[in-house]
Amino acid sequence: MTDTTEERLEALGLRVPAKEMPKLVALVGDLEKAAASMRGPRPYGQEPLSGFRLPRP
Amino acid sequence: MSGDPCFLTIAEASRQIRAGTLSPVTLAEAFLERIAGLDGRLNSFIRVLGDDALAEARTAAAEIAAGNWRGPLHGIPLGIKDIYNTAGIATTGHSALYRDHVPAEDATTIRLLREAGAVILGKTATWEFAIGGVSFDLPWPPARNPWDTALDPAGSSSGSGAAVAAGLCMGAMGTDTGGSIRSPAAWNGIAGLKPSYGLVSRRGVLPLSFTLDHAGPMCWTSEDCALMMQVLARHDPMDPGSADPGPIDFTSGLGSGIRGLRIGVVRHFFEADAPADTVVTDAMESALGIFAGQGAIIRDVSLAPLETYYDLCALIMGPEAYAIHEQGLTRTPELYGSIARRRIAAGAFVSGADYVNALRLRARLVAQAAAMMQEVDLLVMPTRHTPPEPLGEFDTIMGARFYTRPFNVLGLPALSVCSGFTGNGLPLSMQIVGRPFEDALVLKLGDAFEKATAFRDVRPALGESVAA
Repeated sequence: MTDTTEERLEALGLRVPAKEMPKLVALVGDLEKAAASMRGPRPYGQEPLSGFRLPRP
Repeated sequence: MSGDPCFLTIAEASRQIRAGTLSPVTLAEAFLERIAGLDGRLNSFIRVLGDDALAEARTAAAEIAAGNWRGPLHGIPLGIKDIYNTAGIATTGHSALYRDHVPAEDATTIRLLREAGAVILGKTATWEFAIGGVSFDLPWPPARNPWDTALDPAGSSSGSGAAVAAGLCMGAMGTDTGGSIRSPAAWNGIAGLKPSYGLVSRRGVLPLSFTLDHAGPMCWTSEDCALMMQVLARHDPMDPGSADPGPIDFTSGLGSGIRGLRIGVVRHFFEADAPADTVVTDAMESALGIFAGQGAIIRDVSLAPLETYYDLCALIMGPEAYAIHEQGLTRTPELYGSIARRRIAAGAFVSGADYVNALRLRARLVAQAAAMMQEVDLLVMPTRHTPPEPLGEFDTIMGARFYTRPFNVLGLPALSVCSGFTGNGLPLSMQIVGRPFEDALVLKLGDAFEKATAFRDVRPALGESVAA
């Protein structure tokens, strides 16, 4: 697992100009905060609906 | 300006066209002349289809003269956000990446509009790929607000909103992933409907977020949105998200009164979660007074905090947008504007687990909202927390700034209408939200409000007199 946003960008094959990095880093930080608020175990009944549906015979 | 056909509503123009007192050719010529004269200040169109539009108008005129009137959109000039594929006509997403992209087929919605006899005036400006924000590093400049060209028309359907308000087209198509129909409707003082998820096909629209994208109409009035929805709402087996709720009559209920309608006010959104300007809340209270005066039953209701919907929307939109743009961003990042590049790249940092967690929470919120909406028929709140702001970059990915995103998460029909004006003449907004596939009821309340007020009588001045 890489650590910095720059290293993760490089691992993904993404090139972002240096002058754009501060805003990107801030945005990634906001997304991480949002994600952290939603982590945790949940029952099966709260799983998202699957897009896979078999037709009725 | 009075008597100018460019300021007729679709409903009014349609009646005159059908009666033979207004020619679609005259109408198209008037709009093309107005675009040529004014759009250099607004940048609302990035491509005007003058010859094609005139040819379509002549065809419409001949058909109507021969007794083959197709319906209320026959001969009506429209603008199309430049992320809808148009056969043989460049569809750029307002991006250098797609500058030479010429689709072979129309989007389903464009085909439906053409079949209804609409005249397509041109392709309107958008935020780059409907996410890029106000950008000055793209092949075309950003659209400007016709109420004050120093102000932002909001986005991402910025050109569509500005063009409709300025009388450069009678209606337009927009798309809405987090508010991109309703925000420009709000800041341009027009009506814009984000339909129920699945009601209008997205096939042939450049995608941003498969589960949040909606396509819909933007017009001067709710009645005109209803006329467009009557054409646009069709099941499309080629859009996997398309629903088939059966035929919906969007227009016959208009004008039949709102007595007994139960209206819930999501007050915590605009008083606690993201407080709106006083001028916005004052307009909201005035609207509630009008509804109560017409016999509606008003009560306060609660949804999850606005911030929760914002977090959820970002965590879903981010990876879905990145999945769409991964190849473009890794191979030719220099062809994106800086804002779109940054916003889309951020989606690569959302893990699969976090995306699934967001979808889990979304399912819970959908169930909560459905239960709450057993107690009321419609929800109301402002659309934007302020009047239009100066044109410039701001980050709309995070931060609960306005009230549109919950209804992309929930998939509910949501309409923005003009709720009045500031003291210096800038438009204010109100949002009306309904149950799934009850878009007609949403439009009915918007229409009732517009007809009970005089806000539809005022157009942007643009150096002209202001009486419409």
